[in-house]
Amino acid sequence: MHDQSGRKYIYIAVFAFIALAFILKLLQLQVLNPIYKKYADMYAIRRIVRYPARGNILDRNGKLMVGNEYAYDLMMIPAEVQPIDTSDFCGLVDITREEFIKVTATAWDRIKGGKQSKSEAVPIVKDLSKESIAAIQEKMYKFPGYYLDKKALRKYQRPIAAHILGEVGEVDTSVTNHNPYYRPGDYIGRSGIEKSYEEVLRGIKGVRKVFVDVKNNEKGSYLDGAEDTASVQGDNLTVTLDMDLQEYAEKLMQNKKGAIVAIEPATGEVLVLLSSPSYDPNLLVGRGRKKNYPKIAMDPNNILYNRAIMDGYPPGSTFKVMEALVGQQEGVLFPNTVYPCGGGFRLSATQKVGCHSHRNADLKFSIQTSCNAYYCNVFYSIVRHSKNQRDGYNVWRDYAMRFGFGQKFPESDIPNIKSGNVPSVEYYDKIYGKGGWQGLTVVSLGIGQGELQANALQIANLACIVANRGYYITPHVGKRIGNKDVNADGRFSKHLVGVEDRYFDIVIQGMYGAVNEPGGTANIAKFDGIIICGKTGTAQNPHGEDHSVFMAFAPMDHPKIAIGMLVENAGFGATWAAPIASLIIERYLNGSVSRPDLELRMMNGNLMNTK
Amino acid sequence: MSGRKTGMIGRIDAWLVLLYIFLTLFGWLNIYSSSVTEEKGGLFDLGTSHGKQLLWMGICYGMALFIMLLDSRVFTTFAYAFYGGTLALLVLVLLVGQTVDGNKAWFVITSSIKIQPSEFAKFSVALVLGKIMGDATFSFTPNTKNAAVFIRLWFMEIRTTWPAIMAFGAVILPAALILLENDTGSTLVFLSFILAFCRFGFSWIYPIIAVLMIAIFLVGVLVPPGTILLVLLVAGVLAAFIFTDLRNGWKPALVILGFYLLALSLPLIIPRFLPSLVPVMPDDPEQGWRGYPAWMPHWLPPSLSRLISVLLLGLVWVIQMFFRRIIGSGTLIVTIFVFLLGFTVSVKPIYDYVLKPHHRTRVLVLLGKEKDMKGKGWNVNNSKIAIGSGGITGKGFMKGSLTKLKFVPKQRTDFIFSTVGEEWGFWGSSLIILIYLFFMIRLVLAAERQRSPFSRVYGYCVACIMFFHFFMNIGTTIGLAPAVGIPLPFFSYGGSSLLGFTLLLWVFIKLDSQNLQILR
Repeated sequence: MHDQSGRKYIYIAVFAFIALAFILKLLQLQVLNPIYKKYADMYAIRRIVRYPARGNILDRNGKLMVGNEYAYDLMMIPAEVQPIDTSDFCGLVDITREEFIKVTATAWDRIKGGKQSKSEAVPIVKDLSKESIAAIQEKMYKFPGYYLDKKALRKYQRPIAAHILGEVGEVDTSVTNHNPYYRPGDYIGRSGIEKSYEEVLRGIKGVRKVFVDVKNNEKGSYLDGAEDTASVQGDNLTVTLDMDLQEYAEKLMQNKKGAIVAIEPATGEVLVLLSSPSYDPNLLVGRGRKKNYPKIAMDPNNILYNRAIMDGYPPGSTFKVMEALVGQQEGVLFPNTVYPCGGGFRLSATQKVGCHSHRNADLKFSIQTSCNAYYCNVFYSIVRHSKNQRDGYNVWRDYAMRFGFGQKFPESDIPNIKSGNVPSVEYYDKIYGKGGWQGLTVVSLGIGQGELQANALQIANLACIVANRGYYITPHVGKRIGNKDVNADGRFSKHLVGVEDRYFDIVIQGMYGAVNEPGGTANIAKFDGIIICGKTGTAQNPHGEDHSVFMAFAPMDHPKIAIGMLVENAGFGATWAAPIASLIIERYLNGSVSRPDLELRMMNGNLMNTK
Repeated sequence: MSGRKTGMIGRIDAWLVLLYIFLTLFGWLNIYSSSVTEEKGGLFDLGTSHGKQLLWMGICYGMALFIMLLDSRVFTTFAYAFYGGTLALLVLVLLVGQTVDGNKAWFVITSSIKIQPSEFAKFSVALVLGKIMGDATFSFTPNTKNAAVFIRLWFMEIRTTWPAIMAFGAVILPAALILLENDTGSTLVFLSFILAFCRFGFSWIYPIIAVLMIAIFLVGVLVPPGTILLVLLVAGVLAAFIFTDLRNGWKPALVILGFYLLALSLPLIIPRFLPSLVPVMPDDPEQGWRGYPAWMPHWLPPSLSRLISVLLLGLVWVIQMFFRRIIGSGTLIVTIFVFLLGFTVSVKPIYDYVLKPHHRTRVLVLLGKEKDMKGKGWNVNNSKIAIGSGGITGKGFMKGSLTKLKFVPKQRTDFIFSTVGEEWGFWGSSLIILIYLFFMIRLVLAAERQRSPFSRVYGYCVACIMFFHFFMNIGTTIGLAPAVGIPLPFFSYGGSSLLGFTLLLWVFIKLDSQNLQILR
């Protein structure tokens, strides 16, 4: 091997070259580049997330329903904190030591797991009011690495519509683990409109980089704000709700359990959606949320539960309207069809579905008087019309589904709608055994009882179908995002139910009769000036007094509003539901109410303690 | 020579010892500055980083003394045993180790004492390389004592020897295990052994090509390949004419030039006519397909034109091998040139399709294209601000305000140099760099004077490892090297790394001290 000792000079040259390069780079960093001189007076760059205010929510008339007000969060920058007097700190900002330790430990875990950087702020105490921060601000110098951050909180203009507007709350870890947009402590729409329009309302987060000195004071922005981004408030969302009407309806429903849904039939726009009892949505905002949420969530009356879209009640006699339409379309029922009532429908020698006694009814009169026997016959003839009764039942069930029963309106922007139940043949096979049942076994479905489950939204939708003579538009609450029509792309589509226009006349006349003609079940809803078409119902309640159901639309020609509603434990449909619906219709169409006595009686009625 | 003491300790290189003590002490001062707070300040408080480091330093000094008392034959005799033990530990840590910062590389003894076996692997590998390469018959190229081993890679053939293969194997085996720990930084350190190989007959061409490839890659991310190809052409022509023996006439030079033009034309021309024949993915994969005929199936690979260019370049190289007689001594240059051409056209596809997003981020940070993000870029940015804020003279010991604010992440370990820069300024940090330079030069000179080949190989390994750490660590803090996260020798906080470096250095000091006594 020849001598290679000369190669040591190559090593030395390489080492020296690199060292020289380093020294030149240091010369540039430390001596030549003036920008670091400027940094030298400032001590740390802090990244501050600028939280955008959520978008405002306006009602259909442009009135502000939900806006924002300002509050303060106490933030921590993990990279800058130094040991502090925790008991002093916790006393000042009014949290317990345990809470403090828990929040900080979570933050450090995330940093160790690589989920966030050390210089990113973490909220320690949220939603301090303007008043309470005065004392804190004075002592901030004692707590390096902590600062106060101003941010917007939800402000509800009136204490109404809690269920459909929904609530805004801290995001769950299940979301932060999968969606990088959200950080622990961020707010997110958790229900209602706040949830379904979260991405519209939340806006765009901004970031601000500032220098702070050792005393924790801001010393101007980093690079003169060149890398800062502004937060952008969420878009304004116009909803289809009518705030005044919603407030009025809630007043009428005070001290009663139940639900009301009012829809504009031509568009499917929801005007009113309420569940009673309700709560003031402002209670679940800011620091009060922690205290109030358990109270509201644990209330024995299930306040948080949205009865309008989640509960299932038997729709009762309102369902007969659908029977009448399906019977005609299937060719088993005609306007002049007469079935004897005789106080009920005989299932066998010993069993019958009862009915109040009245003269034998034709189709129109059967709706007007809500004859049970008549609709047991109609249902049975629809089921018998096919080759076998299973097929016949399925034909009937398909109609029910097309009418919106047993389904969740998947196109709708109202979250968490429950489907209710229109039992399938498999369902009955399970109960009675295959072949162990037939039309007569389940004949109570014909009058909206039995295993049927529907909610106020579906009943209101049925009223829309009648008002529109054969179709409905998916019920929805979003109207405009900024200036853009939510339905511009036709996402809330038109659904034909498969019953021809001509069959609606006689049914609408029946509903007219129910309100406006002697012997009608809902005469109480009648008032001068506007012709209401309605149908009462009584949902059987095995646990107590029956629920009062009512559906209606008005005016009879060119309907502007359709209502489906239910009052729990209120007995027959005409006593509470029909008058309340009537008042809402009058208020909506006339802007005022001409029947103060009835209004007063409804508002003062207390049905909460009758169980 | 005069002044040489013989006996138990032998002749000690005082410079190395002094530099070692200076670096550990000065490093500790900087750790102290970045760790001490008003509440916790006790010098020997083991709850603090500086307290723990002081304890580790005590242990290391003790170990250094212990090494001096050993007979240096321990290290030659048991080299393979050390190596085997290290491999066993590296496997064990994969099975029962703890994950810290994403690297499954730690044995946890107590909650505050953790050992990282990869820090000791360097020492074992250096010993074993001393054994393998210290053999009088060792050679990277075949000769009378070492039969040639031919490794065929497709059309390429590598002629080498069994001991050379063993040397590479000894490096690759632990490196692979450390890579499995997900510790990329510590794996890259093993490249320093390849650098050391060059002293012992391994061709310089390979590290030069590697450096060129890195340079081409970094530039290739920024500028279109055509520009690099033209620069390469000029460089290649110059190199060929310098290294070609022109006394044989102009013929070989002309042939070389012909090959250059042929090779160069391929990547420049093919992408221009290829899109009309086959679908070609554009340089930016987000722009979608361009020139895509409807009848072609969708699964054809992206960047097909570049792939074909590279394959054709391979073909050019094969043809060129047939002409090696004519070209003569220029063959190697042409080969390298053709290879670099192929690499140049592959840069974009590698960047777009092979690198993961976080790799791309690091490349962009290094190039200064992206500076302010979370994670590594943020660290480097803050480190540069801290160093830059030190100015010419620095803010003074314990007065670095950014250091006090924990402004630079990982400041005590990977970014300790930012404390030096901030508190000691340009003079101080330049001085530290010069001291490291002097230390490394001293190591090379000491290695070179070894009479035993074992000690010489070992010494070069030590020098190259120190250099690699020095380059990557300080380079990261000032933005001249990609952030891989390896410690600065003797300076960074951490018991394992301090122990590892102390062992590495002091075994060499011991070997050197007995240089004249024992002939191995």
